[in-house]
Amino acid sequence: MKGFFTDTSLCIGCKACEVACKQWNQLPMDDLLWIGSSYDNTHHLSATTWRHVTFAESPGSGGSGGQTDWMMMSDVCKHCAHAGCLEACPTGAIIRTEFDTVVVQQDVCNGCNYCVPACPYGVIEVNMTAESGDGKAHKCTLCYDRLKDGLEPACAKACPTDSIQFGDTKELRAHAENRVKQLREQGLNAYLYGDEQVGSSPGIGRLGASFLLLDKPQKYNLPEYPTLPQDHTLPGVLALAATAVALGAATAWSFWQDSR
Amino acid sequence: MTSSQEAQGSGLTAQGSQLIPHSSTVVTASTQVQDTYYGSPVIKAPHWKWLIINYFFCGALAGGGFTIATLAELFSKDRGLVRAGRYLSFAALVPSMPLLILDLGRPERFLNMLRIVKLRSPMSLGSWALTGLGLFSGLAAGLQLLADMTHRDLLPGPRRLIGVLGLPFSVFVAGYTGLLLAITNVPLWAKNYLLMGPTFMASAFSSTFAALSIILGFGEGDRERSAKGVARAEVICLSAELGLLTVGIIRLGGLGKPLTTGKWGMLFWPLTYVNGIVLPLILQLTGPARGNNRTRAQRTATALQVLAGGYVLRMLMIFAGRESANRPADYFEYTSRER
Repeated sequence: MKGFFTDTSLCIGCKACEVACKQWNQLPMDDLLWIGSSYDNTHHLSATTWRHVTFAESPGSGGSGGQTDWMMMSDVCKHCAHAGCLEACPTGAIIRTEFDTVVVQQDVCNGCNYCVPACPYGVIEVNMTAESGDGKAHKCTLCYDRLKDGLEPACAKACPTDSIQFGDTKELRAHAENRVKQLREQGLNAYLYGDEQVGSSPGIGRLGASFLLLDKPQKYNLPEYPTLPQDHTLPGVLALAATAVALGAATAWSFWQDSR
Repeated sequence: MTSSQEAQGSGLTAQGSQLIPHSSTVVTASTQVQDTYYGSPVIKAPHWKWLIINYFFCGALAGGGFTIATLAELFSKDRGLVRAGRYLSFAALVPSMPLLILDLGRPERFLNMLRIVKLRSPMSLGSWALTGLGLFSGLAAGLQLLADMTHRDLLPGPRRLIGVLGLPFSVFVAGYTGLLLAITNVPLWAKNYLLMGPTFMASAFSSTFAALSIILGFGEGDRERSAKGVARAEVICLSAELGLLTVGIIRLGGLGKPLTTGKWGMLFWPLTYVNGIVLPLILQLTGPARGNNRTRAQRTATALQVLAGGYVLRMLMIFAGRESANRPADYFEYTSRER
């Protein structure tokens, strides 16, 4: 069971993870997005961007013209215990690997796009661009090829401050809890994002990639308590069946009234 | 909106829309910037557009036509209704497959849909149901054609059996498209997950009855006997659609705004809600259901209103859903703990 723990209190916003990811996975460059609101010109995770450093800033204690509070976070696929994309995939292209990570098999995916709205975090995307579009779904593989060779993922390897940590999820969790405690003792409002309390829910289960955050999740463009869409399938199918029986019986009765 | 945010917004649009996929959202959501990450969408909107909208409509008629033909064969004496239902179902199925295949990123891999069955994925269930309906609808239409060409009631037993065996597939195809949308994270669809499928199913049946009444209107004959029964069934389906849609909108609350307000709302209320459901319902209740038959032109006009309402409902659900997905504040509301 391998995963990431991204400690945002250590992130300096250097984007080395974005670059290392692109280089190792041979991902093409994206159009530069001049958002004009922060140092974030990557803007979002996409089919060709599997690490994305968010730059959330808020006015600090100094008021206008004073200090600014910076919160950088390197976002990535969460490799959910119960992944919406994996459950939605009708072709079986999206699989869980021997490392407990979630990977898209490129030779199977037919680009139906159903995984895209099924991801509660807006991670996976189908590449339909004119330049590099192959019509298939792409996202972080947690460097499946490197893991098979006993190497750590490229982003974790490149991170100069060890904000991105790779390892066994149990060990990472113990470390994360210690770190949260340590920062709380220093007076920071640190907490863990990615367990069933915040960042996930019982339906999704624990996230394979968890985060230490210093402000509310929305500040980092993360949902507070997302749910697994497929938990609604059975009730939805039952409601459909009930409607079919009711409308079918009513129609049959209407027809029968006339043919008596 | 502060002046700096306005400058930011105009700067974005000046850059060109191809460069910034979510530019309009960034601008419109800037009032919410304090509670979101620069108004940036949290989840990704599905790419679904016209191919899928047209498939949704064809699939509704394909499923509805087969279902109504089977029910008519078992419970009605109107053979014309059975025949029209079978042909309508097959005719609507023919464009469904290419519409779906063309929507894939890799159309040549469409058969990969049938590698595996996933009971919790409506996309997988729908692929299999459509395949099953294709088989049964094709067989039923073929046997119907054989009987019609020879002017003899050939093989009535097998026709009946095919109708009954195909029924689970046809009702599922008629309604699952709503469930397909609901089993996602798009607030407009997901919040109302229980009623999305039933709403689409009721709409599929009311649209199919409308299409059938147009088809049958051209062949005058001993339609009078069954006309009342068809009108009664239409009233039931339209009432169900009205009820389900209304309850759904109430349950959605503020998350329903992409559909019920703004540019989509300006289409939704007149075209689907009033013209597509409420008016036809009133016309049916005051007309055929009480025995006052109207002219063929009047009946056709009402049927076209219902069909247009059903088409616009599917179109707006797709477009408003994309807008819903692009609103970070809506998604944060949908995923808040106190929801």
